[in-house]
Amino acid sequence: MALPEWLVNAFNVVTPLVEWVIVLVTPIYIAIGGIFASIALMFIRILPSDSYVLSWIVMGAFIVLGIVFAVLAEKKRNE
Amino acid sequence: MKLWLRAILALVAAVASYGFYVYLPEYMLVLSSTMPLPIADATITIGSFTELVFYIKSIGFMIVGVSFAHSLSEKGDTAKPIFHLFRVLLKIIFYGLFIFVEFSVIEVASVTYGLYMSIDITVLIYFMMGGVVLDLILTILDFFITFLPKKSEDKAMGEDF
Repeated sequence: MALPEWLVNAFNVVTPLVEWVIVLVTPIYIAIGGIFASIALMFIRILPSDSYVLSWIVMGAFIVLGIVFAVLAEKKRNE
Repeated sequence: MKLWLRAILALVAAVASYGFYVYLPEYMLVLSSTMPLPIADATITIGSFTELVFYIKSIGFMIVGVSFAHSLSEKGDTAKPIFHLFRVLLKIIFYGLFIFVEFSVIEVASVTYGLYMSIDITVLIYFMMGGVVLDLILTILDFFITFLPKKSEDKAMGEDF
């Protein structure tokens, strides 16, 4: 089953444009990825590399903060 | 939304983010590092593979906490965009770690079945990274929505008095 000719022509027009978009966007994407990676590297230097205790403490702190802020906002709204 | 409803939502969000940011990454990394899928081209620049799994998991735990707090807070509260910002920052670090891994190609080959295919995973990681960029833009918009109307309200109040 061959594609109709008008569709093939449309693809011939669109494909180079898409390729150009990919060519233009890829370096930006890789640059953003590099920034992300450098941020990650900076963060890793702070983290201890032997136990999960610090990350568990951070997780617990965020959970407690979330509960506290939610309850406070609820009280404010009730008043 | 009511507080108890949001609490259930927060629990669901925490469990989901545990699955997506702690369990699944560890499972996938361990799966791809042990025998079933031989990795043709994998370069890891930070320490060892187990170290990478460790860092990914420890950041995943933090994301679990932030996700819980974020979905517990009501829309329009000042705390919500701040939690959102923390979550985006942690996600940036999370995917930044994955960029270190550079799984260019995972090759699946089987002589007995005559199967040979190579899967490019870098594209997948970059897709997820694009999601984070979008999330960052959303966070900035969230900040605008939460903090700008308050200023105008204050002005209006000042004019009234």
